[in-house]
Amino acid sequence: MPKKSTLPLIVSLVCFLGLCPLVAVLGILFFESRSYYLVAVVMIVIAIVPFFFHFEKRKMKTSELVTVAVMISICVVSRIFFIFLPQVKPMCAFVVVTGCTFGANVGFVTGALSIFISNFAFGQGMFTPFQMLAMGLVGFLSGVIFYKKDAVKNRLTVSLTGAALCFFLYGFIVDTCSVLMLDAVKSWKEAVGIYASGALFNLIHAAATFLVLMIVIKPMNDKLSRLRIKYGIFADQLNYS
Amino acid sequence: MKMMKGSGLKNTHPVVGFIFFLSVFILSLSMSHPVVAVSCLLAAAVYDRYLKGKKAAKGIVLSVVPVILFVPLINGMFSHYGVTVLFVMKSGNNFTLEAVLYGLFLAVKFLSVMLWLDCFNEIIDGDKFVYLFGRFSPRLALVISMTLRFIPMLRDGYAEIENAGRGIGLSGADKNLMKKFKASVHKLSVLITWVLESAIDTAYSMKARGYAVKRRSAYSKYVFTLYDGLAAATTGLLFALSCLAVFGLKAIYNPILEIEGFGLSDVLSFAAFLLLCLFPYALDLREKSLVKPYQERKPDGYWMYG
Repeated sequence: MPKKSTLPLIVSLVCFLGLCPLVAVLGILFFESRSYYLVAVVMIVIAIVPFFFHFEKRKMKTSELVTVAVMISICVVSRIFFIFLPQVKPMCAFVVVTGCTFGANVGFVTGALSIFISNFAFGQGMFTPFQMLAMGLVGFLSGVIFYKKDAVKNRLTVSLTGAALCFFLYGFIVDTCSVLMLDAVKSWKEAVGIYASGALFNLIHAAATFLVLMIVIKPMNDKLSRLRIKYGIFADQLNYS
Repeated sequence: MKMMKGSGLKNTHPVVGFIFFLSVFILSLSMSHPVVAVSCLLAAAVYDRYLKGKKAAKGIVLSVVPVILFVPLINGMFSHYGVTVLFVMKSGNNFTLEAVLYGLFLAVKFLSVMLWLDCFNEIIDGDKFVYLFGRFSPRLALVISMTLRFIPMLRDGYAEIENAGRGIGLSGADKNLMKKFKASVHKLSVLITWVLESAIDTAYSMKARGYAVKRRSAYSKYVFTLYDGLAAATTGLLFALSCLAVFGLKAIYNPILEIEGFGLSDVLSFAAFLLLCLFPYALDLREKSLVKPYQERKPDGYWMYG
């Protein structure tokens, strides 16, 4: 194994511990809490940078890179295919699968880019940065929990975890966007009201994710492990199916 | 040949469009004065209608009206600050004018960002985005452009698989819903395997052509000319001036409505803001003047039809 570069680590430390709090403080000082949304978007952009920086700098075979692109396009197509059904989107499930099999960093990149690219079809909106961070974190955490772990073989565990991530993490972050947009931060009652009204939609999204994961996780794992054995990509990753 | 609306901004260097939209986003997100907000919304709506044509007008109205109506109402029902009480609700809370007006302002702000984003989607496509940010992150740009290529490939692949399936009698046109579902899952499974395999082929082909041997150079069809530089500089200047208006003019909605009047400098910077909103039309005019001589010329070979 080649020695790992410390540069990504430094970048993440600077972004998370230095720039993000700095933007928050500057936002409070200069905007006098006039636009929480703008400050939040700047913070999100800074928070996403380290993940992409790591992706840019890590060692990767060409075939692995192309496989990642294919996984992203599968995610995008799965979202566009269901454009007529609100909230019933299998995309989250495919992002979880990617995180499980390719690791946390690739999971984040897949989640964030799938949202970004599919939004060229759905229309980039005020939600885009929040959705990117949220979906990226779903991929990241599913990578942290299941990558190279035996638990990935258990269909039910993976599906339940995916649904929980979708409901709590993705739902919470995207609803936070509505709270900031409607400027409901000033009263608790209003904010809780918005979160509560979003809960039903998040529940539908989570249920769809659960169902799709139940169907998809086994065949996808089979396909990807076959790819690994046949072509020797992601070869440092062993121990399943 | 008919000129495309908005081609002025479309045909300048992507940097110009990006600076323009970044400026209007920042301005619309940080404005607080009602006059600025309303003119921003109007500018966004008019430009959106201009870009998308008559058909889109109905959609714009349909998206604007409900927000304008409901957000102030909801804000009035949940927020009870302000001194001008319109009436007391059943719950015993005050329904105040200030809360309604603030809701109205929020709706205008939200809508103007939304409509500017709509225009953004018309002007800046995925291709331009990859061009703009590719140099910061070549690997990411490569992944994005490969993804954009794989999406139509997936669609065509599915059509091909479906065709082949029909040939061997796996049509999926079964009346049994479960069988139909299983058939389409099977087709999707075939599709995914196929695409993953062909991705490996792509990778080998890339490797054979020397990917990752040296730094990747990028083909670009955009050339930054003096004209683009002038356009970018004008946009930046107008943005800096309108910042004075947007950040300088303050309005307070809570607890008492306080709206600042316009001073002379405010009028000037507000004019700069309006000019910024009109900037894309100016580019279009210039484009038109370039195209016009060619439109008026008689087509080659018209003598043959005498």
